[in-house]
Amino acid sequence: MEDDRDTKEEGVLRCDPEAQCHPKIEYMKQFKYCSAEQRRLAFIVYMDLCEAKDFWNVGIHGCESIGAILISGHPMKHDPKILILPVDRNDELSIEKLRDYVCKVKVDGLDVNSLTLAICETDSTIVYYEVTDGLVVPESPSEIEGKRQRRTWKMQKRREALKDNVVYQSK
Amino acid sequence: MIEIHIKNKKAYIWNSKDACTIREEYRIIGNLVGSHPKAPRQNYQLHLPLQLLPEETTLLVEKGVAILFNDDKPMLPPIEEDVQKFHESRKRSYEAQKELQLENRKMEIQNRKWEIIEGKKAKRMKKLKSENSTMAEDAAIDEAALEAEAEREVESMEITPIPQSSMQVQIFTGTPYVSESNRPLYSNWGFPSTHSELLRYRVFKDLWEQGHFLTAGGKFGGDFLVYPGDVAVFHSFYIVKCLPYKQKMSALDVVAMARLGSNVKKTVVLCSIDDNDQLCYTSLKWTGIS
Repeated sequence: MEDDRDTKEEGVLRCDPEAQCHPKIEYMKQFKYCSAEQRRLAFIVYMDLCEAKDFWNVGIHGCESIGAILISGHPMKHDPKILILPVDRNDELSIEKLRDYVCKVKVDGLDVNSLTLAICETDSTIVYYEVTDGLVVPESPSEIEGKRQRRTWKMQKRREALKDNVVYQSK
Repeated sequence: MIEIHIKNKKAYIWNSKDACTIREEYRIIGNLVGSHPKAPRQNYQLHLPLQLLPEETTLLVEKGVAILFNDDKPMLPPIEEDVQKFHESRKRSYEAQKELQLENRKMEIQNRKWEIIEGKKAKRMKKLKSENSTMAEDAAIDEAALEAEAEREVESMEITPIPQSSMQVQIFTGTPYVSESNRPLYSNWGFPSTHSELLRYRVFKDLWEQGHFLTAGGKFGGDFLVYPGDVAVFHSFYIVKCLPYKQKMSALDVVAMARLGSNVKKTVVLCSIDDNDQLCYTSLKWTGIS
C-alpha cells in the first residue's frame, strides 16, 4: 500500500506507467513480492530494450528468490539470451547482494551464470553492466572488433530507417 | 635465501640476483625505486633497490624463501673472522691483479717492440748529432746492436709489479664479508594485522597461487593488477578491488568501477571474504549495449 502511495505522489514527474495501464504493467502486478517502484524500473528497461536497443524475444519474469522482476532477451538475433535486473541509481548494493542476485536468480527455462544490471538514471538513461560470479577473462581484441562492427552495422541500419521514415512523413 | 631489508617499515631488495630470482622463480615483481648509477639525472629508468609490497614480503617469508634484515639498526662491528675474510680476499685480489698486469705489460712490449726500437734509435741519433760524429757509420752500428738488444729484452726484462696502493677495488652492492649471524634480523614484521590487510593478503595469495602475476593497482584505482604472465610481456587482465562483504555501495559506484575497467579493456573483480570465510570473486564488465 505504501509503495503505491509513493508512486502516486511522484507519478506526475515520472510519467507514471501505473496510471497508463500498460498490459505489461498489468502483467507485472501478479508478482506480489515486488513494489511499484520495481515495476516502474522494469517497465522502462523493458521499453528501452524493445524500442531503443532492438532486442529479440524480450520477456518479463518474476523471481521470488531475489524478490525482483527480471527481463530476458537476445541482444542480437543469434546471441545467447541474457537476464537483466533493473536497478535504480540510488539503490544500495554490496558484494553480498550482487552475489546473491547472480547465484540465487532462477527463471524457468534459463540457466545463466551471469546477470546484467540495468542501472537507471532519473532521466531514463540506462546503462548495462554484466555481473558474474568468479573471474571472467576480458574479451580479446578480435572479439571487441567484431562487436564494434556489429554495433556500427546496427547503427547504420537505424539511421537508414530514420531517413525512410522522414521521407515518408514529408510526402 | 633471499635477503629483504626492512627500512622504515618498507621492504627492499638490494641484490640484483635476488631481484631476478623472485621474478623468475616466484612471480614476485616489486617496484624499482633507486637511481640508475649510469644515468642518475633521470627518472624514466630506475634501478635497485627493488621495493616490495607488504603482501609480497609476507608471502616470500611465509614460503620460507626470504629472510628479513633490520636496516633501521646500525650494523654491528665486524667479528674477527669477518675482518680476516676481508683481508684475505683483498690479498687474493692483489695477487691475481699482479699476475694479470705482468702478462699485460709483456704483451704490450711485444706488440710495440718496433716502435720502441725506432724511438731508441732516434734518441741515439740525436745524441750522436750533438757530438758531431759522422752519421751514416754510427747509424748502421746502432741498428744491429738495438735489434739484438730488443730480442733479448722481451723474454728476460725486469718488469716492476703494480704497487698494492694502485690496485683496483671492487665496490659491492651487498655485504660479502659480514656473516649472516652478525646482522640484525627484523623480528616484528606484523603484516597482515588489520581486517583489510588480511583481506588484501588473502586475495593476493590466492591469485598468486593460481599462477598469476600481481602488481599494485593504484594506476587503475584498484588494489592489485593481475597479469596472465610476466608484466613486461602481457597487459593485465583484471583490476582487483578488495571490499568488505557487506560494505554498502550505490549502483553508481558499480558503474564507476566497471566503466574504468571497460575503458582499458580489463575486467574489474570485486574480492571479498563471505560469511563462510571463503574468498569470493565477482566480475564486472560493460555489456556493450548502447
